[in-house]
Amino acid sequence: MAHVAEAHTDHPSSLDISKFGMWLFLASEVMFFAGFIAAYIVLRTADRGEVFSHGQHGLNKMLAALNTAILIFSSFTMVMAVHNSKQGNLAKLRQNLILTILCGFGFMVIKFIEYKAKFDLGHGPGFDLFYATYFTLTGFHGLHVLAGMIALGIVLANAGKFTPQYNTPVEVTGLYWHLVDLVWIFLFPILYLI
Amino acid sequence: MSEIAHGQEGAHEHSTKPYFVVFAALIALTFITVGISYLDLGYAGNKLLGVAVAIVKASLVVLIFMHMKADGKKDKYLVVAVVFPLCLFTLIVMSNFPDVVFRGGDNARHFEPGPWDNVGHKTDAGAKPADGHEGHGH
Repeated sequence: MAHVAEAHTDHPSSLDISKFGMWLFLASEVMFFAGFIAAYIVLRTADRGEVFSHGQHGLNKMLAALNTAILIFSSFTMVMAVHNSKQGNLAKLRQNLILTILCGFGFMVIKFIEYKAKFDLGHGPGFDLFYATYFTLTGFHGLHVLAGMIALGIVLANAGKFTPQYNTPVEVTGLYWHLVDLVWIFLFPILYLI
Repeated sequence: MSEIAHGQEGAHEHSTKPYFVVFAALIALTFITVGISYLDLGYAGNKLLGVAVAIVKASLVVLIFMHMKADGKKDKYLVVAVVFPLCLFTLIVMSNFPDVVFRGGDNARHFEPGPWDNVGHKTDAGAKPADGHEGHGH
């Protein structure tokens, strides 16, 4: 725990700066998704026909709920990985990072099954306004899951370097992964449930 | 001073119990929100409850998994970094509300079809001013 004394000098530690930088980036990500979610809310409220309610009933609630559980579990394994890196437990760190990446992979496989079912019915992004917003929101979220998996893969590849004194990459990548979970926590009810 | 910090940091780092509790709560809330979606609580009821559950879940993730509860106390600027975009989001949605209020819901039935109604006419752009004009007339 020698790093604690080091961290409490007049200058903010590199972890504080990295964390702040990541939070700022996450703030920009929130606004990125906020724009699309706002568009979804406005288009849906203005929809007089049955486009949105009909589209929503065509979605697979249970697959999406399963995906929600998978992402929540991955957030849990991620936070455990951050804990392991602070404890210097590299074996557990690797184990939890692998579990997190596998969860991301599972999420994408289920998303693929969902997309395929829609495309088989001819319900692509151009089908109607509901599917346009559905594919925009879930598509960009899926890209974020992929990006998170790549970032976690890089962290995993470098897992041997982390010590209780140096684990900033694990922590900031963890923040990003939690954001991916956060976005889905909102997309799940607004697209599938309500 | 560093010993006090060490104490706080240590207490925060050593216990993984909050993580297990939050994980269980998030899974339970997912079941609850899916269950609620099968009940008919009215147009606003279902929507408000669904969003409320999502906000509770998101708060748990931010405060515990993302360590905002512990880090936010140490560094207030982190709180600003989170609250600021949320306010902007509200602003973005609110700025669209005139459109939602005047064109959405039951009121909208009195208006001409919009571009999203798939009417197939090329005169949508021309129909818009007339649309607005009619709105004023009512």
